[in-house]
Amino acid sequence: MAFIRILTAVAASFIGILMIVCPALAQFGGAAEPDLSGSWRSPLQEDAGPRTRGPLPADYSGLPLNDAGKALALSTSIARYSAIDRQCAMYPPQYLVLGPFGMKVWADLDPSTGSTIAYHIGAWEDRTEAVIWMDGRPHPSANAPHTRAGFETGQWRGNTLTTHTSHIKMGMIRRNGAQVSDETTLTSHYIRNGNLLTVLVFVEDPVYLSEPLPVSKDFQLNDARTVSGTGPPCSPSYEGTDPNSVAHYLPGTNPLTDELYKTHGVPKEAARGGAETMYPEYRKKLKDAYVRPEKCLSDCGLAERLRELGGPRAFEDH
Amino acid sequence: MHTRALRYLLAVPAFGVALLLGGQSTAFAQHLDSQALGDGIELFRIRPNFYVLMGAGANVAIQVGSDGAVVVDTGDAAHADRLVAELKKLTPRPIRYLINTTADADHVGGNEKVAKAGRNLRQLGNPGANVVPAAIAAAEGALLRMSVDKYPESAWPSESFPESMNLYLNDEGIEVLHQPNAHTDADSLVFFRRSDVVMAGDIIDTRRFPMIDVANGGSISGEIAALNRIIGLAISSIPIVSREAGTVIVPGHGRLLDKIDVVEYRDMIVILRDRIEHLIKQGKSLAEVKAANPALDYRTRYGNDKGSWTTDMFVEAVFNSLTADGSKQH
Ligand SMILES: [Zn+2]
Repeated sequence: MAFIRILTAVAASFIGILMIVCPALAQFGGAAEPDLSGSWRSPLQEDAGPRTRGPLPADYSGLPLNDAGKALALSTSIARYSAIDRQCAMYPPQYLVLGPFGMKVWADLDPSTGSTIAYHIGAWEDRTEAVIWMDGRPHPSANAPHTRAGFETGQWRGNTLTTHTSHIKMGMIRRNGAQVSDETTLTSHYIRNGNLLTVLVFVEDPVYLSEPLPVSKDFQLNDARTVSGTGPPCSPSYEGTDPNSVAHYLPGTNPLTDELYKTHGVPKEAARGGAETMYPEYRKKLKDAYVRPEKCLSDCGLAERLRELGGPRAFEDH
Repeated sequence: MHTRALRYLLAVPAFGVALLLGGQSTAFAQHLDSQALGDGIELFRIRPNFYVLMGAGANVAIQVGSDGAVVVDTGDAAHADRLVAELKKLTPRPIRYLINTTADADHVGGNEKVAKAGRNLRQLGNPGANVVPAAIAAAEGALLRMSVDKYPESAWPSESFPESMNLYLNDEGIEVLHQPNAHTDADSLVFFRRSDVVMAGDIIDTRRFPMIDVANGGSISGEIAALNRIIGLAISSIPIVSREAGTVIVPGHGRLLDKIDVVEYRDMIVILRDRIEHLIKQGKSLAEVKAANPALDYRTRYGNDKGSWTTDMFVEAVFNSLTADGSKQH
């Protein structure tokens, strides 16, 4: 049931893609496996604002944060990420879908059988190289290190590669302080439909989330193969953060909790997040509290401007 | 492959096979080889000649080479014979040095048996003489604690130091660095410079909040200073950030870490210290501080409501440590 509820929460465009998946299954058939290899660009068809310029501060709406997760998010000052020791720390693996960039994928093949041992998803800015092990190897023990890419194993079922990622580090689920713990695991579905790929990730965290968080992102095969397979180097430098302290807000002192209200008229309580804010029914609850601003306050006319430009700009070369 | 590395591989057949098969996956070197040895004991090989044994009390590090074995912490007494047996499988050469990161029973419990299974370097020129056990090195505070806690003398540190001690064994420099008043007053970090491994002792416990033993000289400011020193010793994979690499930090208990993991742990401890300090400045009592639930966002991951080290005990240790130092503030 929970899965069905979550599906309903995922964007309608994704449901559309699910429907096309079934005929595609027959097309592959037999022993031949689909391939994830290629240069995949990111057309940024959903959440383009939060995924490029970033989300509003302290807007946690739509995130199934529990009380601990809400408290952690509100105590987090983004200045902490300017500390010398954190500047090159990168984002956790869910940034593949939460970030704006495309991905370059290549395979390691078994030289004797030709079967796929692993896929590599190339690094890019803020994201390290990830490996999806396809050879059935087990996940490491609980005492093994947690890495920036985590440990990911996968299996094709029809045209969907389903993977499980463990051993990840604590890190952001929204670039405004919302975080998940190092006990987080990801179940990812790489759904290939010809030249389109939908990646649907369920983020599960027993520490900071009360329900799995579904996040999806579409990719398009890029024949020009311009997506880079590695990111730029990172050298930390002084960015104004006091090296002798850790930037954070004491409980109840985060000054940015009004941003969602000031920008869109959405009540403060929605900005605090929580599982109920993921579902359409939550609108009914907000109906009386929501006051539509008299005039547009943010991103005004953006939809028209994007249409004039022929849709959201794709991150072709990234 | 040079001959020394080959010798290690031959000495540890299972790891040899794992390394040869996994040779192509260097990008995942950080998902280090590990072997379950049964009875909840696990052996990691984190460098060609460097092992970490988990599940026998505190985490134990073993560096091997032509000079013999250097062992950091000896686990608890119940596992001492097992530790000796595992050490003998890793190297045919004698155990030369034990180093203790603190004086707690789960770190020094094997001292006596492991030292006796070894052979002191002082006997290098005189192999026929009566066997002198391996040396045991620790901070002076550890020697003091072990004598007070009535350990047999053969378990006590044979070489103790007020601030630091250096060794050069098995082709690498080893720095043993006392960290005053952190987990206790007996703590040391052990930095293997060539292996690029830091043994953190109980300054880090990835399963729970650090055990700040105020009665035995521990303090929140010393704990934070110790975490900052570890962060200072460790190096991340920069500027090439697209691969997993860097210094390995081995906590006293729990999983293997890298620098950013320690930064995350340090940040949590500093944030909790700041919150409790803020409440103290508002004049709150210990009971009021506990009731304010200052560790709300970290207690699911690192706290316990029951057992030997609860969230309340951690909050109380920080409170007591701040109000004791705090004659400065008030
Ligand atoms: Zn311990």
